[in-house]
Amino acid sequence: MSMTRRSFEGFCLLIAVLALSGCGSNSTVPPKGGTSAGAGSQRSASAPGKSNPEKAADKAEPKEDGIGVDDWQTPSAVLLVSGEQSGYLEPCGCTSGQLGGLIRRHELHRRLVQKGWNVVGVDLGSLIKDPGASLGGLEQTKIKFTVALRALKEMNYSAIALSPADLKLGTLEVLGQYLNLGETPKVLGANVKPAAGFEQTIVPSYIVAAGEKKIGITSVIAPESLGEINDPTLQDLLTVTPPSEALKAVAAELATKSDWQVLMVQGPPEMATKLAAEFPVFDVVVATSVYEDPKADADVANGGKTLIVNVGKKGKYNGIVGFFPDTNAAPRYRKITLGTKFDGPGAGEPIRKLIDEDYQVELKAAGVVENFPRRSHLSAIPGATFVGAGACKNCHPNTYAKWLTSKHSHAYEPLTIPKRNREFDAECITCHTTGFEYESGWVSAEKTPYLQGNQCENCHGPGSLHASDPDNAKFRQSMALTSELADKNMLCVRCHDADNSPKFDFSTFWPQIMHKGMDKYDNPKVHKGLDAQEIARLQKALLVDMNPKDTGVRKTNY
Amino acid sequence: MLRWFLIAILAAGITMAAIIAPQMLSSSNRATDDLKFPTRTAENSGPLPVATVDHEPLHAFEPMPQNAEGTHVWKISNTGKADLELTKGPSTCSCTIANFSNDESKFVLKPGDSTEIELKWETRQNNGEFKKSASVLTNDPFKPSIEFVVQGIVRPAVSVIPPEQVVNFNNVSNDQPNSYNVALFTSDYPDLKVTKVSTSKPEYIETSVQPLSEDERLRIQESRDRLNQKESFFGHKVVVTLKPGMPVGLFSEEISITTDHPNPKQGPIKVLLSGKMVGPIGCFPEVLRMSQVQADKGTTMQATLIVRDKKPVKFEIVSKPEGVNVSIAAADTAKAGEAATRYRMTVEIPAGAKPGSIEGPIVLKTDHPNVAEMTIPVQAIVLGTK
Repeated sequence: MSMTRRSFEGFCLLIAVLALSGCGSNSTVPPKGGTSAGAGSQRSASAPGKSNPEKAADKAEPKEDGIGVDDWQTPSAVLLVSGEQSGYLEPCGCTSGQLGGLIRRHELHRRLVQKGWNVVGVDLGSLIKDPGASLGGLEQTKIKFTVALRALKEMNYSAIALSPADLKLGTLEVLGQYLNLGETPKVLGANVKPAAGFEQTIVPSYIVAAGEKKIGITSVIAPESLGEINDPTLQDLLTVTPPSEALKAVAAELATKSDWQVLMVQGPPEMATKLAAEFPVFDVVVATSVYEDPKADADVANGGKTLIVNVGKKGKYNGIVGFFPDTNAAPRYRKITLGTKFDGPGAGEPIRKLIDEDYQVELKAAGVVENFPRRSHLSAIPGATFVGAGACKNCHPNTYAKWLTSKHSHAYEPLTIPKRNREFDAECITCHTTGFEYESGWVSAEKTPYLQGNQCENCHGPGSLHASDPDNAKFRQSMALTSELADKNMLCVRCHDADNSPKFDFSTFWPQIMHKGMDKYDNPKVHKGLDAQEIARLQKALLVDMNPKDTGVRKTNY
Repeated sequence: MLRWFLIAILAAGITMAAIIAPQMLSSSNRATDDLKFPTRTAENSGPLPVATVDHEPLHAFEPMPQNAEGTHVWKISNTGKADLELTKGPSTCSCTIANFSNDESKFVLKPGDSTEIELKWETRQNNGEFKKSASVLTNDPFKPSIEFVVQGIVRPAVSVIPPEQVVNFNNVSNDQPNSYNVALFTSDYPDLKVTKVSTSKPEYIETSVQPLSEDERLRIQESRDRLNQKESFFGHKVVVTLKPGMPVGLFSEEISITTDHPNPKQGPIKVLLSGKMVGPIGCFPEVLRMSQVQADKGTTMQATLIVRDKKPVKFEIVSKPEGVNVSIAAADTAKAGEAATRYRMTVEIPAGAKPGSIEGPIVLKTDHPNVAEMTIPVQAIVLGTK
């Protein structure tokens, strides 16, 4: 039955009287049923927002504690749902105004606990992205996976779903890390049986006490998704059965032993919908997301009995599901945007320490930057090495001067800010230095200081041969690059991507650094070429140019 | 007396309200949190504005190419009896909405009036699923925010499988060739040819261009069907083979594939090849990290030693970091068809360990013909008792 606007106004008046009287009622329990969950939960007639997405999002959402469930009567338990973090331990991207991050999630968790609620954390998995696609490479992804697991443990998570994305780290590596998780969080996979010796690493289900009630949690993985993993040991270590088959017994057991049942589905969203219909016992089904930003509402199935929840990708959002004292009552859902409202002094301190200190120490100890596997530069002439912008200055002084005034030349500085040191984080280094990933490119501030920042050779390729023999047409041609080719080859979007430079547009940004035809080459010295000694001298001079504050004088001469 | 009477009436009223309210609540759709009703205030008492959108605020567009721009228009009307105020709300993109001269401006619609909301989006270099949204805040108490969403597929001129353009070989043995197929296809250029393939390590990486098999075509079609891409496609596969003998250790190599697709924005397709070339015995996890170990409690960690060629191996612990106990359990019996034999190594930092950092390798001597010795790094931080 829907409520008319008139009866609604009457109801508002009644609520106002109740509110004035300070009379709350714990007996108000939502019955099961309905057609949507959380629809309009973002509602707040707030003041007009600015165009900054996050600021605007803050304005559009209820203020108070950033959670906005003041109208929830005291729930018996609250399920904190996260998933598909895809390696984003911190807010996605290094520009301001981005959402997400484990520090904010910890603060959300703390605020929920502070309300006196029984909080049960579940994560859909995909804590990391494919190590092959990760800018940090395999070794950093391993450490990142460890850190992500530690963070979930710190937040007292109860369960994690086994996911194909995490298994891409290598089945043995992943099981090896699960072996050391301790009692919780449990790694769940109802349709996965691990090999002998790893039986305790993945279990079919887990029942967690939430006050006087119990929540039964399970998870399934799409068998076909494991076929996409290029790992011969996977078949030896994990036996996978059809999800529907495996869930029959698990669902029946959870129904008898717990008050609410939760299913996480690591497969396409339509698989979650299908399983929700097939197993109506589940009150909550956590599904994967097609898009980064999830809908405000959960979908519903089974006549409103089951919530199908997805929380998007990259850890920008979490969901909370309230379970109420009447176990026949439908749970209620709210999407939580992890924005600046969860920032503040001391917010998420244990996780901040984990990411800003422990993680960085481990990256340094493992030498993920120094030991990063390097390759030949595809467009370079064999034998060409990175020499740094200092060597370019000799013949291209005006172009060099233009670069020196650009942010590209200062790209390394943000990585050295005390307490936010990221000099050993390959994911940051890759876009803040020159030639990283390539033979003779960036190694460290000690070994290759002349390659700090985003220099000429990141676009033009390694320049040693051209610098030593500038009139060699073949060498010169190998360095030539037009703006059209840079755009076509997507040179800029490698770093100016959707996360780190969401407003990047080549036609707008290129004019800011355009440097065509700035130099003349009529001085005989520019045709002479540089020897190793001269290059070394110019490399040292570059450091002075890049840090004029140290000398008080900008020493570029042109 | 009158005061007590009034208090009694008020108490009765409150009690009734407390009883009636839940019933009223339960008569509505309570599975939703839609019921965070705005309270009756001066703002929404009397005539109210009503925001009405002419069609579904979610627009699904047909597959679009990269570097293209799309627009979609909705008509929003004020079907209420008070002025409707519209303001720009949150946006997940640089979408623009017509009729707003700046972000702070408020656009007012008189009762009966309407205006257009135009969403513009640029596909840029996006590849695959694409979604952007922008919202408009209103003073309609029943619709304080309207989210306009556009979503669909953005495809490059030449699509690649794997779509991330990364091949993760994982741990591969260097005593045999390892191959992977990279598929390339397009739907608008039947004569597509691969004109050049170059690799960053030609001495160890071989490539060959071959036609797609029927099975591969079917799998591609299935993935396209899921994205509602029904048109025909034309393509090839590049078979990438890592030759035996590639040096042991991490690798991150690259291949560059050039096609003759006429789209001027279609540059060479770069595919990253990454993984680790391994020898016959490995340890997982490869580095034993134990941080924040409480000195008074200690900790244990388990690792798996895997022998890929299934030869029986005897391990001898040659050295280990000070303060660490190491034991290796008898081998699991490798099942038929299994790719390796496994051993369980347990590493213990006992209770009462000295606070500080523990760093150093566990060195194992083996009787495997090709692995005389192996080194497993240990990194631990032991915290003192508070």
